[in-house]
Amino acid sequence: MTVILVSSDNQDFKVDKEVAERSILIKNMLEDVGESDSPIPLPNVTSAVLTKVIEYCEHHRNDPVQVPEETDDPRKRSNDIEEWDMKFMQVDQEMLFEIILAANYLDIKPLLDVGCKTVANIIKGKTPEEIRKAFNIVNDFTPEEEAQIKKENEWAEDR
Amino acid sequence: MATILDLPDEIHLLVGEQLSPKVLYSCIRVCRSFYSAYIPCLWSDIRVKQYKGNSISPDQLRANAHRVETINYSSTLTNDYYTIVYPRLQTMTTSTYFADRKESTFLQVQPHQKVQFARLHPTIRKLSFDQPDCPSREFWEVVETEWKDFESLDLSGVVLEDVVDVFWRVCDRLKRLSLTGVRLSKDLPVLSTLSFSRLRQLTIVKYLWSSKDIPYHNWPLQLLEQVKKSEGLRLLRWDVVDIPFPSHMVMDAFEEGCWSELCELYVGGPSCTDKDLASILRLLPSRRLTCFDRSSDSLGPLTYSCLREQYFSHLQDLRIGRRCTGVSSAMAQEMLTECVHLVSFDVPHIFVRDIATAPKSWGCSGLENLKIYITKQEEDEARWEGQVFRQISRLRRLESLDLQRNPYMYSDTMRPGAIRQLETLDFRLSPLSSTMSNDNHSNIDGNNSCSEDDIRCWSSLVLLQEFLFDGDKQELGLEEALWMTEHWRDLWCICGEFRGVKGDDVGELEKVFREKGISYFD
Repeated sequence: MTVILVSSDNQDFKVDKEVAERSILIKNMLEDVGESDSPIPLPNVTSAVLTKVIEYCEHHRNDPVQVPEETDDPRKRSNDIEEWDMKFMQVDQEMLFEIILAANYLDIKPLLDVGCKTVANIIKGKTPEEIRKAFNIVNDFTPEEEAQIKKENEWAEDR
Repeated sequence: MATILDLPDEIHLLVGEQLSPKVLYSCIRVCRSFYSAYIPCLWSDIRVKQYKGNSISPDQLRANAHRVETINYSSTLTNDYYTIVYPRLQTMTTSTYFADRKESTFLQVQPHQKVQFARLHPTIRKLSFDQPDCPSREFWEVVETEWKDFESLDLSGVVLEDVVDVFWRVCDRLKRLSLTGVRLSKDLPVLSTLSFSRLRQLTIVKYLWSSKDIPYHNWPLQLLEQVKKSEGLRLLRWDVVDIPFPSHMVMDAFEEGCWSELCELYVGGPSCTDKDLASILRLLPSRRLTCFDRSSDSLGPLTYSCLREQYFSHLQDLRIGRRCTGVSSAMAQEMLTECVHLVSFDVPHIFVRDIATAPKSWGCSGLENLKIYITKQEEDEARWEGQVFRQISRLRRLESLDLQRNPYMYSDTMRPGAIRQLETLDFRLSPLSSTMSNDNHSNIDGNNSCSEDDIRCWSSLVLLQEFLFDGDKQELGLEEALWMTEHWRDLWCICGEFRGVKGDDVGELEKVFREKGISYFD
């Protein structure tokens, strides 16, 4: 069985139901609507981004559904990024953030996780100036604010 | 066009979960928007010690108390800290550091102050208590009646006689119970009415150095017997120096259909025979084993072959401690090759030869923690060492790399003859790089294709946080230290000797580490 997804720029995407249902948002929509073959509009997702998201869902179509496992050790939750996912995430920054936003909107938790880990890996080991450079951010602090933030949080420097 | 500043705060929170305080401290200084996105992450998990610089004052804490979810209090804190209210506190740890005992404020806080603190924090779900003063009956009563969501207790210390009943009632509700070196002042029985129906993880540990205390008698066995009723038990850890692992009780439990979820097993201490341990593994009702720890005594051939036949494809955490005998280098190589899901691995040693001449490379590409002593032998070929460096360079997820020898530090007799000479990898940068680096250090390092066959190919280990090595047979200098701090940007702990650093350079070395916020132990 297939469903039709419509991107914000009005392109139709025909995908298998099981692939589309990787998105909890779509899954819930389909359940609410019941038997129906009317297209599902996704006004927040462009066709470029939707193409990527569908590629991800296709690849992971047979993954077991994630059960929120209660573990005490957060490290057990934060397992590494699979190789395929890592390659999948090698996109320019704009696309990376678009994918994250789409994953958040469509409620695709594993994709959101991979996206966030990718961002975290870019940030890791960088100084504030290097982070600004990496993401093209302008420093909008006054020198006084900077000094204040340092003073209040300096303890974190050696943690 | 989306930029990082378009991401909503809840997504920044997910990113922040992956970052250490040190990195979060960088994040909050980037710009205003980053400040407000990451400051909650930075303050959500706080460790407070009161000696030496960089401690957090009560006022700083009070100003950010609404952000704190996890806090660690050392035993040197004063009453001021116990009057702060953290409205969202979930996890409380009280710890005793080695240096605490010398401080004038050691254990200054009165028991009633701690009871008051408990009363003010009914949101606590997890408590880890490790201080020599024992919680009073009143404290445990507050826990029992007011901490509605309490689910995890880690205790080391004493349970007084007049507390035992309320203490066990508290334990009965938990999902996770860990008792380390706990003494019950009298060997009072575990109440038979308890069901431990929610218990998922049980740890009972008593180390050698606490064995002079009152013997444990029967309560650990009684506790385990009671815990049979717990259907969801996943983790069992037993390392009690004066009570052998109760193999038969465990096998009986399996036969009675208990513990069908058990998949993490830590068996310490002596007196569990190879045959018994192998039987237990073979009978494991869940047919899954993700963690296995045999940190002392020996790993026998039956146990090993059972691990290999049934569990190599599940194991994520495999610890064959350095006090454990019976593990050969070939076995270590086999485990690293076949256990593809390993996250943590700890074995006594491996030969350079076994890594370099293996037909297959290691399968455990997600390894985060590796603890092993890599040993050279006289007849080794020169190129093998480079192959070992390259094999390890492929473990890109490594966070902790411990290559120290100390398994055999205490005892020569435990050391297999072949590794007596104890030569390990040469961590020096090759002479070529040292002459060239005088001109332009960064250019050379920038070009890090993995053609190197020395420590330079480990520039791929970008997530490394801890590095422990043996430097006593080689003269590592300032140059190597600089290389490490430059390439391992998340490094916060380095342990090993830089013997080539002499005279004025000693101060320079310490300065380098201090500036990067790296703890250094030699």
